Amino acid sequence: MLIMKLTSILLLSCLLQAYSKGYSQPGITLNLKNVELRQVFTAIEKQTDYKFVFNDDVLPGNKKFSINVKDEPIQVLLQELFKGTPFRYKFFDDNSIAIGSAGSNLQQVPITGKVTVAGGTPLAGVTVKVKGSKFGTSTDADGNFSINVPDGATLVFSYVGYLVIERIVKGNGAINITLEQKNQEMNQVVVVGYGTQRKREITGAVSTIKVNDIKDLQVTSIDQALQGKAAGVQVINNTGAPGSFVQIRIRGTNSISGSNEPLYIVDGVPINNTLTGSYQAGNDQINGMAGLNPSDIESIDILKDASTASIYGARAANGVVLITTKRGKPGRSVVSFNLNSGVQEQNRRYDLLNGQQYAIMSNELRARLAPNQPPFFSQLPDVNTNWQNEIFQQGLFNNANIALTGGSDKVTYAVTGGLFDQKGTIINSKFRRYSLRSNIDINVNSKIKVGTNLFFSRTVNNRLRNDGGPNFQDAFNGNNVFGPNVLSSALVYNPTIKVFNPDGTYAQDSITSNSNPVALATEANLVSRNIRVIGNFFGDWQILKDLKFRTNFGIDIRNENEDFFFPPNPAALGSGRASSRAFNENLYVFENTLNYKKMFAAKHQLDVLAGITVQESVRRSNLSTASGLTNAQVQTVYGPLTNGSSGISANGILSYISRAQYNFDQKYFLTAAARVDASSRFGADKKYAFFPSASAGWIVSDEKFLSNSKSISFLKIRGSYGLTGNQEIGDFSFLGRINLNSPYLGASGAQASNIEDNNYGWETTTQANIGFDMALFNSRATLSVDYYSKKTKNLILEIPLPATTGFGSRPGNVGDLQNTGIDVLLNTENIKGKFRWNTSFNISFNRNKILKLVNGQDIFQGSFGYSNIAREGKELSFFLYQVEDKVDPATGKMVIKDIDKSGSINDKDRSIVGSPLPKHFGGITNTFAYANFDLNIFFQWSYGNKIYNQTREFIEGYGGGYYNSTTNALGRWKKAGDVTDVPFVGPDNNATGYASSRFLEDGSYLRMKNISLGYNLTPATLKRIGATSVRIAVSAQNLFTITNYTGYDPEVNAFTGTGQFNNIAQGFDNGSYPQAKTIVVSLNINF
Amino acid sequence: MKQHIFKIITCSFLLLGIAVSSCRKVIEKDTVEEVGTGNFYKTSIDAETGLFGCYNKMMSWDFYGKVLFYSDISSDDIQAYNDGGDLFRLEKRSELIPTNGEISSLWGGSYNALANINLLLEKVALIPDEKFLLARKKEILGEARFLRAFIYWHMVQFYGDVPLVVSFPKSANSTENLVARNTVAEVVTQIKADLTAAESDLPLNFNDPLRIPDLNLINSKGRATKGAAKALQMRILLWEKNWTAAAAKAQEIIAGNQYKIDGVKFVAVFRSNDGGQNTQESIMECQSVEQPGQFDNTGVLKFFYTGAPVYGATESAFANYAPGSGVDVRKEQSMFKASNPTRIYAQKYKNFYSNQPNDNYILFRYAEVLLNRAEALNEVGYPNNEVVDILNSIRARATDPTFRFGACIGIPNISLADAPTQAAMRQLIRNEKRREMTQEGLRWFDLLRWDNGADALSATGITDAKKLLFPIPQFDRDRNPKLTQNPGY
Repeated sequence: MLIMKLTSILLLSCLLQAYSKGYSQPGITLNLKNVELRQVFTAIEKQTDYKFVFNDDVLPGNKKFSINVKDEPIQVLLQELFKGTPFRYKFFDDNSIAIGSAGSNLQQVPITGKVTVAGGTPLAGVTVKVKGSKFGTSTDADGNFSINVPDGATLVFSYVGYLVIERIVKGNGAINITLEQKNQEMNQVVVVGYGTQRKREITGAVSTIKVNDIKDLQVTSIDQALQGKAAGVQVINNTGAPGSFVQIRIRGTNSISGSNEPLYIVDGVPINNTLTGSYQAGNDQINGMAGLNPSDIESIDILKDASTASIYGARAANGVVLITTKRGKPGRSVVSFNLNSGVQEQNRRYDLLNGQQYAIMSNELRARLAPNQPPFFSQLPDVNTNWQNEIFQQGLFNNANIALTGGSDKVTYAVTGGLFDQKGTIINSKFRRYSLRSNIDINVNSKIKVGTNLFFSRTVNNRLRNDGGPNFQDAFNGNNVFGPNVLSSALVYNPTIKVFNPDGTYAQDSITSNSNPVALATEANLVSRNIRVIGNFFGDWQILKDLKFRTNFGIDIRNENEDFFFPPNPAALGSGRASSRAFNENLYVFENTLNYKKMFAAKHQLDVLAGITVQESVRRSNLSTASGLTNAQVQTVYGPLTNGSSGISANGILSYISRAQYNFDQKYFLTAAARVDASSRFGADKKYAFFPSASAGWIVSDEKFLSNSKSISFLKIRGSYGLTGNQEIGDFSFLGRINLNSPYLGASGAQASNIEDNNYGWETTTQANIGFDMALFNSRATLSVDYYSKKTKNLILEIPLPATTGFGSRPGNVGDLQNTGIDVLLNTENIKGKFRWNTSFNISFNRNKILKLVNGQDIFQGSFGYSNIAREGKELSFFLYQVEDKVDPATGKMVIKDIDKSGSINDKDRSIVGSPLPKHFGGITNTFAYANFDLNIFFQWSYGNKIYNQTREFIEGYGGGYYNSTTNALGRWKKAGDVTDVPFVGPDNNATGYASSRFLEDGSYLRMKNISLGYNLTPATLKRIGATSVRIAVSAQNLFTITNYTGYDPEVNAFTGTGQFNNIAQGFDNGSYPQAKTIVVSLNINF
Repeated sequence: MKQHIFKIITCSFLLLGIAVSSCRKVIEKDTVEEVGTGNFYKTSIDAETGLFGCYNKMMSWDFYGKVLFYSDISSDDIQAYNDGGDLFRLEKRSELIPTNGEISSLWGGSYNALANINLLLEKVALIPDEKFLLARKKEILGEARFLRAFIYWHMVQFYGDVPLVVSFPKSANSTENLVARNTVAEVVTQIKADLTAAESDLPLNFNDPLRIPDLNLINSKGRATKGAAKALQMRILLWEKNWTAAAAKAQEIIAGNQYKIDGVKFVAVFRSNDGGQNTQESIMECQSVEQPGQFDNTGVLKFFYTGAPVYGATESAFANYAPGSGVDVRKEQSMFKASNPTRIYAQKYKNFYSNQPNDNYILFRYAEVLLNRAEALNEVGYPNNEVVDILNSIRARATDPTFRFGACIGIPNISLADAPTQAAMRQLIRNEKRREMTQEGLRWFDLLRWDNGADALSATGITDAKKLLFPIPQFDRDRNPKLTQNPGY
């Protein structure tokens, strides 16, 4: 039927054409003076059916023509017009008139061809014109066209939203064109869950980081590379310890008791990022992500909103980070070497009292605390040891990678090897990583494709007992030599003694009997060894032209061993300690999806995905500890055991996923996605969780009213809404459980741990996102802005139960909180040409608000007197006693404000004094390039967050007696009547012992995160040495930081990981290892 | 097209097959480090293990450790030397408030122990009888019922009316969990029912190694026996002033011939380092093993001498013994007066020189049975020579020339002439009991029942009779509006 219709239309048009041919053109009347030739042609084309066909460049731009004819045939007119000029013309059957210069061949040639877009999809309706003239045609439904044009003419292909392409006709034949979309960036492939999309098609909020954006960053782990590069993604290096944990918050804090870390997926394998650590290393945790090699990354895509993330269902509430590693391309094998080598420095120091100042202060304290005893120093000492200088060292940073990529049409491969070696800036801290990767893709036949990704790494991490105060952790064990934490001990250690005695043994402070910080760092051994294997096998089967089946089986295996040894104090027999900890985590994932992709009637595009995935994860751990060890040589667990235990935990998820994407004319986009997750963590009545989402996008710039806009070259408006979940709520929390550790009469006894809760389930986040992507001024500026509003319900919190049930509380789904914010990304091309200057700027605002807690009760967490609070109606905050400006002139003690005017200091005198959460944060990168040089300057900041500087409290406030202090102590209160803001130095100077605003500081900072200068060898040089590219670069990381923070490093967050304490006790500097300044020389060679 | 349909069907089956086959296993996981409630109490060993868990709860600081401590602080036997916070308020009753942390944690600990006992009773009843050896099923249920009675008995003593919960909660958030208080009479009815069952089902002792062949350590003193059930019944009968029945219950224990005081050194009853514990006098005592992973009493005997005690014996307790030192072995064992600062160390379980941490403590011993019989007999009728004989048998034991300090020359026998009236004899018995049983957690409950609490008021300096009972903890009243408060709070 349709064919008949089409046939009749075709016939009709043929008839009409035949008719017009026979029709003789009327005479032309023209009266033009001093006009361009083009205007004459236009005037003629208006009065007749003739079309002029010419190449733009043959027309003399400046020559003016005059003509005055009345009702003359065209031939007469043209003779008149071109009289005395070199122009020639020729008539053709189709009423076209070819114009050429003298000697040009006015031969018309037939041209056919096909216009497609990237990926081979034909494009219908593309305008094909001879340049400068109005003569042209357009492509049919299959993208085909045919046209007769003068030989040598330039054909112009144009289509709304695509870059215009010109081709010069050289003889007859076929011209096949692939049109590229106008905004190249919008054409980038973005990895989304279970597939890819072009950026243009995305209706949700996705941040993408490409290998080029991070190539000069000198980072240990992948998560560090996200910092300042993606709007809405807050990255905090919790400490500067090599290989330590990095906290990521995508669009705020969503959970109070669960995890706030995103889901990481590496090449389709959802990996575990379980934090491990031990009490030996304080709060510092081992970062599982540090096992991966950042050099393997091709791109990182961060799914931030519900519509993109909901396909990951119950694990997506904190966002999803999709990591894609490098793959081979068909063609020549490319070998690339990458070598980075440099030094690390820690040059910020606390200003501590020198030996003499310390001696005076100690004597003063002695006179006050023990007036009957002789002073410590009868004369001022001449030794002045700055213990900070003794424990800090110049670190080293070495990172070497080799990659071999290439392949044929059948097989492509990328094989990489990496060696990373970092010596930390505190003595005896190290991190090494050896890694291998092999990514292989095989086209079995035209329908079947298989491949594997395999990654192996081994890391060795020498860690310190750090993070925490200079306390006597092991004093009770007779071992205060190797007790406390390294950094905080160095800060308070007696500066009047040297590191070593003349006989080479460690010198010991007799005043406090504290530990020698250098001995602490060097003699205690804490080494974690990690083996990580991540890999998958995948296969694609093109069942039908439009239907594809994909299977993916992946694993993530992590094996960790940690040995700890504390040598015995020579003065205390049997005070050595050892521990051995093992951790093993095995994960597998098996995913099967069907994907149906079809274009209907050239304009309706449909992409439907459905699948089933199953995933299981098992964790095992062992810990044995021994104390009473006497020998420093044997460092294994052998002595009197103090602990021996093992643990096993497991979870599994079975999921059904589906997604439908539809677009009309590449202009209107709709996406709906849903996932059903059944998790072993959910109670029996809540086994199945449903996470739907929907989103829409509209490319406004492709509408008529904007298509010719000079300033706006692209504009897309998008919106999304949907649900995601957080299932990091504990493996067996819903179960009624019985523990067997309640012995009696020499046998184990069983006791109920809790009551079953079959309604126990995931935390649900509902997120709405509205945003736009815009390209301005010929795409020289692109701007993406997103507003989001997230509400998280069913937060897991401890719910008090009537005590008569036998149980005080049970975790249940009760709390609510919300995060709202704006993410902005602006890229500009400031200067084009030989000298290029590009800027990339992003800023994120997030406001956190706790809406509902159990019975409206505040939750207090934190160090020293519960200094952080979660309170309904507020964001996560510090909750502290406030101090008066001056110490009490009578007593010299800090004075706490009596806010409730009760006459004494009590709980009601605390108040909210700021938040550890920033008001905004972001990054700005400026890239300059000239000739073979490029310069990259990357700043990153955080604004408005507060830090509780507990490190300074250890030095200035906590005062375990005769501790050293900062030079602030020089202004200390000495006698009654002194008016100062510094109390006397001593353990009792705080009056309350409460955490107070005295140590709360502004944590805002602007940091030059990276500056790098690169030079690319010229082609001539490259040819000589036989390389395809060579780049030499010098880069500096953390070169300087602008901040009012008085501690080492404003980027700090001592308490890391999941759980209520860590989620609420944010913003602590707790004797934390500061980040280093790193200066690295890099060499990058490709053959 | 046919071929395509075939492919699609194959594919769909593939997907479905994977889902169905792995579903159960993946999403129905059971805890490994612990046992899911649904999978426990399937075997006799589970029942024994659960029972040990109940003993652990009842004996630990969660319950009886506190009872022992709180009752003695409440009484006139133990005093605080400085303000020990919430614990101190148990002595200074006028300052006791419903938010006191100690009375709150005892409340929670009691009901936690009860929940475990109720769970055991419900679940063990469902295990088929043939899975048990001999009469173990009945005995396990009997032991558990004894524990429940023991806990409720102390709760009504401390709190008065309390909710009587006899089943494990069905779910965490059920409104059934909001229970009201039952009267003391209702609770005592349940206690008596539990004890009657326990008395009939429990063995005389656990000395028969065939009884529990799969458990290594058998200790008849560490668990409830017929004797313990009778002893608790005896206490309740005294409380009810049912003198004849109380005397008869005591006589049943005496006639059972399981226990004796003759030849049992007083010092050996309490202290392991004096070669004792689990003596023939002991009816039931908490078994403590100082070894990693074993039940130990750490923290339970906390007011006994530990270096710088916050609590010590009172002057009146000290003065209750015959004047002069080295006379009554019980005094030397129980308290030690030090000067500068003047403190009377309570040291019945831990002596001044050796500070061993984890001794057993005693729940019931034979001397109490004898003294209770004496008290009941005296109330039934005066004069009664058996009363005098009982007192003299107790007093004779208080003489021990081999005691560490040597000169415990002993105290004289008494005769009816020493107590010419029933009231005088009553007082004499009471004083004797105080000397004998001090620091064993009994004094306060005796004071409460003697003269209907008047003794408790006069002896302790508590001015308001309403303060003889603890308040119902505020935290639980906040969670459960059905809980009413005791008068006076």
